[in-house]
Amino acid sequence: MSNPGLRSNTQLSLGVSHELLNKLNEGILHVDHNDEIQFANRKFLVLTESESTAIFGNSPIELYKVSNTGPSLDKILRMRNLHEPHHYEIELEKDISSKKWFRVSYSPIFDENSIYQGAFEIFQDITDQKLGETLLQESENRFRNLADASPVMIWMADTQNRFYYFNKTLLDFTGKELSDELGEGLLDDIFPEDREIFNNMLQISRSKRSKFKLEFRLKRYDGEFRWMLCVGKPKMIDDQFEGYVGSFIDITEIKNVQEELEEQTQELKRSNEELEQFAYVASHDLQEPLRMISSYVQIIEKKLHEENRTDLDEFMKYAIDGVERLQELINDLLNYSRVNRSEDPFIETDFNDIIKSVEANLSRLIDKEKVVIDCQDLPSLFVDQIQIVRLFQNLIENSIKFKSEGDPVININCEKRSDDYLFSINDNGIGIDEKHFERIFVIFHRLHSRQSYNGTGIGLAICKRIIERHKGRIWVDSVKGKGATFYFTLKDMHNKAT
Amino acid sequence: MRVPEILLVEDNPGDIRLTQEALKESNFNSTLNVVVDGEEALEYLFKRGKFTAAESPDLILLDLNLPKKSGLEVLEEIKNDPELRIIPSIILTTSDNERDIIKSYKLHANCYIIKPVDFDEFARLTKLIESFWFNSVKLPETQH
Repeated sequence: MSNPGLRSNTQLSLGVSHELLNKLNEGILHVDHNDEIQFANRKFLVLTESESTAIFGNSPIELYKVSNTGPSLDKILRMRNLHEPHHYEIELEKDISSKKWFRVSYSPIFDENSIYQGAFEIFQDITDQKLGETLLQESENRFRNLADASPVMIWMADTQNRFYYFNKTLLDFTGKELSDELGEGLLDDIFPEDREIFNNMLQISRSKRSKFKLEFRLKRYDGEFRWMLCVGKPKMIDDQFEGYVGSFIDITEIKNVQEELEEQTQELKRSNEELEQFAYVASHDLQEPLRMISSYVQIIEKKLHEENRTDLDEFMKYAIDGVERLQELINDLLNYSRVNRSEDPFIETDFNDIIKSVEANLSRLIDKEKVVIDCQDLPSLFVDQIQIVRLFQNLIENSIKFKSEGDPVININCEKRSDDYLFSINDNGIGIDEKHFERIFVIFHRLHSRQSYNGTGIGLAICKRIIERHKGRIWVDSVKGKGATFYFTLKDMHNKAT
Repeated sequence: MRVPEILLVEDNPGDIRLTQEALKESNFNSTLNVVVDGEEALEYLFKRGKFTAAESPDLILLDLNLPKKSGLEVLEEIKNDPELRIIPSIILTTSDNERDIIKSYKLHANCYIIKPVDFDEFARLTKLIESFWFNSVKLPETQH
């Protein structure tokens, strides 16, 4: 390799020898005031795989290749023409297989009169660094693509619990821009009641650097709050806590199924308990009249063989009474078990007509007991008509049955609430002790002896079943001796027969 | 010898009549007094209200399912009273519920009998009760 020629005045003004420049580990170019290459050190020729003869007298611009990532040729030219020191990164391409990245430092040279004399350019090979950057970029892109394609919502938060990353899945879910959700923006989308729980969990976990898991509701793009399972894991880099990385999964469907299952389990439990009650009655409540019948028939049989036939009528009466009672129990039991098997459709029913039907059915009792029924104007709802008549009839009959000394007065009211109707039937009867409020709705539970109040203990159980079939609730409020008020709720179940 | 007195606490007229028939069949000489609810039973035993002239019974037959005060509540008061607690108190009920049985014995019922469905069996049991408590068993002479 021959030494490149150099104008003597430049060499003098620089005071550095070519020999020294050739020893440097950076590529050095010297251009004159016409931007023609006057000198290139050895390293430059090695780096660019150039022959010195091929580049002398040319402008360095001709060596450059326009790259997507570096500055444009126009820009480089503009900068050079300003004769001001500057840096830029360029890609030089000898051939396709050999591409190199350089950082170029341009330093203009002026003479004592500040006349531009040319410039030195130092070329540093930054190919490896560039490659690393590209790899990093690729890896970052890969992560983003993967994260964005994931069905799971992914987030990252810094050590102060401020969110700084959300994947596309999450942003698509909330329907917001990244900028809306960053920092504490996401908290606005959390269901108000869950926000504090979420925040506390984050605070506590952060102080302990622990994993956490919680469920909360997050607002979807359409405004609907969905149940999320949130899992967060501390991000440790070289044993240094760097915040949290975590995920959300929409578990609303799972939760719904869970709830349904829970409901079904409850329903199963309830029907099991009912079955037990049924078994209980088979052996007790049904057995009692049976015992009366069989015992008295036995006595009658004995008396028939004896001379002394006194009291026969009386014994007969007890036997017949047992039969009647057995019949009554079986009828009520049938009615009770039929409530849930009814296939009658829910039809729009004027409740004022229902009360009229009940009054007609009970007209004899109402006249006899001088009952006053005061009924507010009632709504029309979609219900099983026959069952609702039975409901009111049972409740009104009860009010009359458990009257106190004065004439029975029954008030029927209805109040429209946000998503249902609250009915109340109030009487001036003997009332119920608070300790029995729950028990009275359980099948075959009776508070009074049959001598004081006749009945099978099924009436209120039937009412409860009817209300449950209509997805409502029934309960009682009373002070013993001061009348009772039965409440029940009904939803307007439009065309929803179950 | 004085005729033993039995107090029957029972609200079902059918059952009262059955007991009367059963006692008649046993041919044992005893007097049957009847009260129809728990409160009346206690008034009778403590000689209150209309029962100030009542004689203390020699045996109590107590149903569990009673109006106003349950048989168990009555039993508890009997066994808490130093005078009354020595009167043999027999639970006579339709309930074969294990909890009722345990509760009764925990309250010191003298025995627990489930009413049989068959009348002859009931009559046999009644006779057994009388012969056991009035003949076989030695009770204090001056219990009243």
